[in-house]
Amino acid sequence: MLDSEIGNAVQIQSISFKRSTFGVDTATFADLNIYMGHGTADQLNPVFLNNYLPGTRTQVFDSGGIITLTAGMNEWFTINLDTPYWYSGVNNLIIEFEWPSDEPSEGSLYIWHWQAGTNRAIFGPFGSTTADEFETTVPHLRLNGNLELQTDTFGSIKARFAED
Amino acid sequence: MRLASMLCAVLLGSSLAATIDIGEDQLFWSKPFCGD
Repeated sequence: MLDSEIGNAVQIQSISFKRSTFGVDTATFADLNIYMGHGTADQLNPVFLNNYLPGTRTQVFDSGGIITLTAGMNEWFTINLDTPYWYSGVNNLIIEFEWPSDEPSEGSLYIWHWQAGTNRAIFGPFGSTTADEFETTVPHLRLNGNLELQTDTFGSIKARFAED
Repeated sequence: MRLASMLCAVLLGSSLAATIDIGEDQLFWSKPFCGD
């Protein structure tokens, strides 16, 4: 997600996605890991790790084994992060999903996407370091958390009231 | 009331719970939620 799309510094505690009107209502993963980090480029590099600013890639979710996600048509489903992630509001936010196709993986949740621009999402086989699919669409998502409040002084607050 | 609220926010350094909604319902794909 681009900084211009997020618009704020935010402590991300969970992320939500909206299922479409297509497909089944559950998807089971043998394992699911999610990472977040900061990046500078508005288009993703084929080498996954090259997209992160050094030191910012953080694992925020580990299902620790089998996980089943469920959502009805046009319903939002939420993944609560194990570790909240602090997005500074500067540079872009990278969200990385990793899952094996091992048993008992089953089903797919078809979620709403939108046209975001060239190379905004990349995909590759589990365990690979580089992507072999490049997408212009990204998921319609919600970042749920706490916004940073602007630090202010009593003087400026009084001045703003005077302007009202 | 507004002043009190703003002052409390500044004094306590509290944060504001929020949801940031990014995108639209345009196209649907399984990625990245393809279990199999």
